[in-house]
Parts: sequence; structure tokens; C-alpha cells
Amino acid sequence: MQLLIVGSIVALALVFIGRRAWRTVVAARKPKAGCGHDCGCGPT
Amino acid sequence: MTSIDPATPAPLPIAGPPKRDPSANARATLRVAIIGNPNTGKTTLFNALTGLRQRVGNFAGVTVERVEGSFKGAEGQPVTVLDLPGSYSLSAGSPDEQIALDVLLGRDDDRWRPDVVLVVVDSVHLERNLFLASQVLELGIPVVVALNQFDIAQETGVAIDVPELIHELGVPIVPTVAKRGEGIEPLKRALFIAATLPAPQRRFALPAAAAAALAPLERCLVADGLAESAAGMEALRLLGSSRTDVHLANVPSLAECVASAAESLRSAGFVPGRLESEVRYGWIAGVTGRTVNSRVNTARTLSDRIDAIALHRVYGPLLFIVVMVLVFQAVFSWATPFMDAIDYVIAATAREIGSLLPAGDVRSLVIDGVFAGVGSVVKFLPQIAILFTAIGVLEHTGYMARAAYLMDRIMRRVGLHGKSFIPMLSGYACAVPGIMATRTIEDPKDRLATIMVVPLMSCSARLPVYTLLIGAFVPATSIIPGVTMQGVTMLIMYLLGTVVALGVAAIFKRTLLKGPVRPMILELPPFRWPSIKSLAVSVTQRCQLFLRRAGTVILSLSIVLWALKTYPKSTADTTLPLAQQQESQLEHSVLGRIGHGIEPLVRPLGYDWKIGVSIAASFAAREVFVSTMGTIYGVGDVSDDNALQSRLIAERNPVTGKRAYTPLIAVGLMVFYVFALMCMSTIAVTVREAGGGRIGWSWAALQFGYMLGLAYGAAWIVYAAGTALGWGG
Repeated sequence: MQLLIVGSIVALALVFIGRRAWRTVVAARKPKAGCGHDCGCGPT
Repeated sequence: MTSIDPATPAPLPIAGPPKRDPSANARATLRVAIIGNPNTGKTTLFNALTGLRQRVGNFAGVTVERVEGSFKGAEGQPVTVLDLPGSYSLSAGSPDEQIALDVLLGRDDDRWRPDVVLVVVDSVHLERNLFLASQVLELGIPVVVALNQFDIAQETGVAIDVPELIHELGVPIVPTVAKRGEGIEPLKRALFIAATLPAPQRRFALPAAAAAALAPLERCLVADGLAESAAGMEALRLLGSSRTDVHLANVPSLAECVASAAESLRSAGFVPGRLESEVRYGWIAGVTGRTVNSRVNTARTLSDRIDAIALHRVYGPLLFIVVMVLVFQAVFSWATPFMDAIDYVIAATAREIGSLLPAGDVRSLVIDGVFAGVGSVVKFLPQIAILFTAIGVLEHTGYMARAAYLMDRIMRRVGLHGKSFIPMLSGYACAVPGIMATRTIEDPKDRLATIMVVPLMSCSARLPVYTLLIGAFVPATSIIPGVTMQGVTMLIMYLLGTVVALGVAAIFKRTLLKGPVRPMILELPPFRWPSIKSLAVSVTQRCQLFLRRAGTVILSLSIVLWALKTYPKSTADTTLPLAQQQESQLEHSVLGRIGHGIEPLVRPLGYDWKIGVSIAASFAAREVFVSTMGTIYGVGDVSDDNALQSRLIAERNPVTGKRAYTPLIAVGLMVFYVFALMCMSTIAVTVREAGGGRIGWSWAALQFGYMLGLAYGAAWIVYAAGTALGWGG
């Protein structure tokens, strides 16, 4: 059971990291996009 | 305190039927674009209108991209507001000015054309600000003018006859003091009123011969798709623009029209390039003569007296160094009690939660993964807050503009434009806005050279790495009262990045990006007291961003790294001491195996596999170095205030029995982090700002490669030289 919980949490973390990396690459293609929400350029 | 009459703007002396399509008024959302000269308070006004918290500063070039916000009118009508980068004119010399021009001419990629343009002018410098306003008045879009910093104008003896100015410009004008929120409600009402009024027209007449010479060019522009109402302004602008290539790239036939108009003007005795400035400033002189009564006190102000020292050839740089030393010392000295408190809370919470969970992998994940990883980064929050408070004070008072002035001589010597210093300063916070800020630089080669070196400036993500290593390995020995070795070491790391950035820029400007050095024209704003509210907002924003990163990227990576260090499980002898069991598990884990695979690469720098694997993980985000070390050493619920630092100091090489980490290794590691580019967001923004596509990726690859090479080479030199000198112990 513990292994199942841990496995799910780790899988979620991997998905998050993968999604974040993909969004960063996609942002590089957009000529007028802002700088993303973790660098303090956009509105809060 | 000056207050502003919140009355509705005076009725406008405009005759004739409305020109706008009445259906536009019925549209659900009113679209407003804010434009104005740099440092007139546009973003402060934008924040006051929309309730947002965009970054503001007391220097030109803070806003470099279009930013959108919204508010609702008195009767609930939705309004979208677009804050455009500051611009002295619509001549579009730099990429940020081009953004503003594209929106106003409806050439923006998103086809976002405003219903009303809000021109923000600095009431103290009305004459200079009216140049841009006069161009905007000719775009065929309703305009409202905000006379911002009206209080300062009154205090300095500049009296503006507002009703007369309304008559001269033919548009609603509202005095405002954006930083105090004065004049905002009348301004909102004026925006709605303006939307129902006919668009203003050119307020002066061209000489008949000039008008005749420009008529064919205006017809060309209309045939090219430009609104008829904007053709007059665009024709004048094209003749005066020094970089027509930017505007004409997509319309080759227009080049002939421009050349023909220029020839006709020359034949009529005009200088085409000067025509626009002559006619506009001629009109502006008349307007200000009739509306402005200036009794400006010419006596030296307090700001002038401070400038006499801050900009002095000798005292200026000395003051700059003293300010920087104090900032970095404050980061160390003031943060300690707060860091200890955070450490205590994290450890106590971890123990509390740990006691509720049964022993096993879930408990280990929470304590040794989440608390050890995220907790070891979060404890640096006070240092981030202190650093950004100090930077904020320097920005808001106007000292940063003085620093740029002081640095101009050095910048020119390395071949960079003086404007490059502001993006480099922004890089101290984060390289991404720093690279975005290069949009204020007109010359593409200067801009690219700046983009290539901005990531060498030590950003806030490096701060936890520096602090961890300095705290563990540099003694807090006092150098002079109030200044310790630790503060000075931190300053040296920041200076090292800056000095090398200048050197690398000089190489780029003499090789791949060769070009002339252009002089800088810098507007020095008067010194102002920082607005506590703006300062608090910007520091809070930075802290939120730091915590958000800790709660997302660093949390996720900590969980993954915990899994890598936990599996597969070793079958260690349970009779051995706990530390040896943990070490055996670490060696047996996936993380241990990856680390030992990396070790040959980092061994020449004096690092063991644990540092190697922490460096590898931190290529996603620099702070991950600290969280990885925290995870490896499992310091989640250790009550020692400086648990991770204590573990690093105590760590022994299992083979030699000597200290695994020495001050020399710590210095080499910090030097590595000064130079290495370990940020996915920075790479992405370099790709985009360097042109996108294959060209953008090539520059980003070059940036990543040279910085990694520099980091590795410099760290090796530090270790090799230090060992040779006997400092390795």
C-alpha cells in the first residue's frame, strides 16, 4: 500500500516536471509571449 | 499635499458628428491602450486603474512588453487596459517601441486595436511629452491625456492651465497623481466620455508645399491598408525615421513612395528628416506658451546636491561600492534570526507530522524528501526578501539610474551601449526579465551581446547556493566594524559575474557582433522617497515567486530525487550504525549509481559524486542544488538550526578519512554556479529574444555552451591553483 501511494506521488511529480519542461520549450516558440509566471514579469 | 479636483473633465470644444462606428460603443468591452514617455508613471497608473501589481521603478525602461489588465466602469461596463512600453515618439527605434507602434496602428499580431488611447504625460516636462501626444492625436483613435505627477509640477512651480490645454489638444485631459491614486475616478469617466467623442485630428497645418509633397505618400499608405486617419502621421514619421527598413520590410512599393516624397520635399526647400520635429515642436512651443506658466525654482534642489556626490568621478564609484557592500552584508546579518526561526518551524512541523505517520516509505518521502528538500530552500526566504527590499529601494529612489550613468564609461569601453546596464541590473533578480529588458536597446548587435551576458549576473536562484556554502565554510570574521568576511565573499561572487559578463561582452562585440559604440542618452529622474506600498508589493511578489517555485518545481524534483535515493533498497546489515546503513543505501540507490557515473566528470574539480549529482539535478533550477543536498543528507526533521551546513562540514571521505568538503571546494563550487547557465526559462527566453527558430536556438546553444565551459574551466582553475598553493586541506 505504501509503495502504491509513493509510486503515485512520484508519478505525479514526474508528470509535473515533464509538463513544465514542455511548456518552457513551447514558450520559446511564441514570439510575443510573456516570460512565464515564475519570473515576475507578468501581472499577479 | 496637493489634491486633485475629482470633477468630470471640462466639456470639449469639438464640433462635428462622431466619426466612430456607433456599434463600437455597444461592444461589450472598452479597450484602452496606455502610452507615454518612459518614466512618466504609466505602469503606476495602470496598476491604479486595474488593481494589478505590475513592476514599477524610478528609471526608464521598466515596462518592455504589452501587459493587459481590466477594470469595470461605474455602471459595470468592462474595460480592458493595455500597458505599452514607454516611448519618446512613435519612431520605433527599439523592439519595445515597435510593440507600442504595432498596437496603435492595428498591426499587432493579435489585431488588438484600442477604442481609446490614454496618453500619460509628465506634467513637469510637458513640452517634451507632447511630441508623442501630438503623434497619437493623429491616429484616428479617441484620446485621453493624463497629466501625471501633477503634484510635483505644482510643487516645482509649473502651473498648467488645464481648460486651455483641453482647448488646444481637443481631447479630455485629467490631472493625476497615480502613486496616490488621485484623479483615477475622473480618469475612468473620461475614458468612457472619450469613447463617444469623434477622434481628434492633427492640431496644426503643414506648410502647403509640404502637404502637397506628402499627399502621394499618404495615398500609398492608405492603399497599403493603413487607416486614412493615420496616414498623415505615418507619412511624416516615415520621413523622419532613421530605420525605415523596419517599417518597409514587408511593403517594397512603399519605399518608392517615401523616396519620391522626400525628393519632392527637398525640391520645395524642406529637409525631409527634420520636417516632423520642426512642425511638431513648433506647434508644441505655441501650446505650452499659452498653457504653461513656469516659475521653476532654479536653486539647487536636494536631488541636485545628492547627485553632486552620486555622480562624482571619484565619490560616485566609491559610494556605489559602499552601497553594494552594505546591501550584501545586510543580506547576511539581518537574515540570520529569521532563517533560524524558519528552520525551527520546519523541523518542528516535520517532527510533528512524522510522529503521526507510520514508519515506512510514505513517512520517509514526507520527511526526507519533501521537508528536507523544500525546507532547505525555503529557509532562504528572509535573504530573498532583504535583497529585493534593498534593490527595490535603490530602484524606487532613482539611484539605479545613477548607477547606469556611472557604468556608462565602462560599458562603452567594452563596446556595449550604456542602456545594457539596466538589463544587466535586472539580471540580479532573474535573467528572464533581464533579457526581456534588452528590448529597449535599438541596435540588434548591442542587444544580442547583452542577451548573451545577462545570465552571468548572479540571480536570486543562486543566493541559496552561495548562502549555504558561505555559511558553512567562510568564517564570520569582522573585516571592519559591521562588515564580515561572509558579506564580502557574497559581494565578490556578484562582482565576479558582473566583471566576467563585461569581458565576455567585449569579446562578442569584437568578434561575432562587431559594431560601432553608440553614445547613451539617459534621463536621470529626480531622487524620490520610495513608495512603501510599491516597495512592499514588489518584495511580496518576489517572495511569492520564490515560494511558488519551492512549492512546485523544487517540491517535484525533491520527490523524484528522494525516489532515486530510496530505490532499489539495499540489504544492509541492520546491526550496523544507522549512518552506515544510510550510506550503504545511498551507494546502492539509482541516485548513487548515477552519481558514481557522473563522478569522473566532476572529480577534477574536487567534487564527490554527491555534489556531482546535485549539480546535475540543478540544471533544472539552481536552488535544486540545495534541496538535493538536503534530500541526500535527509535533514528534514533535524532540529539543528543549520543542519545541512553542519552535515557538510562534518562529512568525511570514506576512503581517506579527510574532510570531504573544504573551503577551497566551496569557493570552486560557488565559482561554478556564478558562471553556469542552469535555468530552462532563461534558455527559452534567449531562443525567443534572439530571433526564434534555428537562429534563436543557435544563440541559446552558444550561450549555454560558453557558460558551461567557463564554469567548468574556472572551477578547475580555482581547485588546481588552490591545491598547488596548499589550500586544499
